[in-house]
Amino acid sequence: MREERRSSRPDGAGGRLETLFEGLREECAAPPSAPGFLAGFRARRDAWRERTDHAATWRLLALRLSPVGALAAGAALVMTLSSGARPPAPEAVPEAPVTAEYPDPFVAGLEEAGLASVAMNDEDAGYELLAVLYEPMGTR
Amino acid sequence: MPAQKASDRESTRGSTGVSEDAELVRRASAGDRGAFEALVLRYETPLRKLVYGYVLNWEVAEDVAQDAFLLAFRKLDNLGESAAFKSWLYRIAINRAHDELRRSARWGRRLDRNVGEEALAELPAAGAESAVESRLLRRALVRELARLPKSQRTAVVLKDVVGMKYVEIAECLGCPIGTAQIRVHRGRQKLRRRLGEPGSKAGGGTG
Repeated sequence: MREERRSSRPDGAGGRLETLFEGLREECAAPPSAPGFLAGFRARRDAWRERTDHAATWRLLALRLSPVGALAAGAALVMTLSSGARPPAPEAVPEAPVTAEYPDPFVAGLEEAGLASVAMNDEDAGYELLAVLYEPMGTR
Repeated sequence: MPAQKASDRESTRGSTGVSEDAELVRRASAGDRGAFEALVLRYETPLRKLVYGYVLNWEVAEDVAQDAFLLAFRKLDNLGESAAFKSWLYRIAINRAHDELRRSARWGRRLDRNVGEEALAELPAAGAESAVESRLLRRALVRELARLPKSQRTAVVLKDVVGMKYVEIAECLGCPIGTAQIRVHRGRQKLRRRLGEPGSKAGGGTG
């Protein structure tokens, strides 16, 4: 406080500076009323909550989907490698359905190991792996 | 009405205010919306004043203060139990005010449009020369404030514009009182050096 009194002595530049600050302090000390302040805050808070809720929904969806995607991708890779064929170049991957003639030894092995179950595909009378991959491993 | 309440409560300092804050923070963290709104009402006016010290425009100060409250609301869980809500909130507001200044580089423009004109209007009819000189000086002051290192600028604004006590500044900045005093002192020294010339140079030479 003592230091402040020294520095606010109205001599030359120091005095002028203090006068300027005084003017700003006076403005600062008399704020206009802000009757809409709380309402403004509420609006911001509610908008933020809404955004957060949307984001949370998408995150949850992504979490639910990601294990399925990972399992499907893993199974496709295992099947490709175990068939003895080299993985084809990305541009050469055919858009074939994930179906196999049953009893395919590999699919049967998966089923016996509890990693998959096989369902009949009604449309082409083949057997497909799609449905089974949704079941978490080790639950059977 | 809310502003009135806030200004009444602003004068309440000491352990009572702190413990009331702590209780409101605890309830707000538990999901009590009204508790946080009570904190908003309590600190709305001091926070607007604080931000005004930087941006020198009441509308912008209100905007930044609301934003600071929202950030505090979002990060309330980060506030430790022992920490004081008030100084934490003030730090958030100071950072937001700095962001605002950096983003829009409004220091000079605000002063031209707002403070300078107010200065002209408030001055008595003592002659056009002194009015112009005063306006130029104020403009120069704000420009020079903006040129100070952030720590010194913050300390000078809190002390000389907002009118805080050193103990409050130290609490707000999370530093010892001596450090706050040194920052204010050095900031003022630089300002004096840079504004030491007669008003004509201070007003026209900075940029």
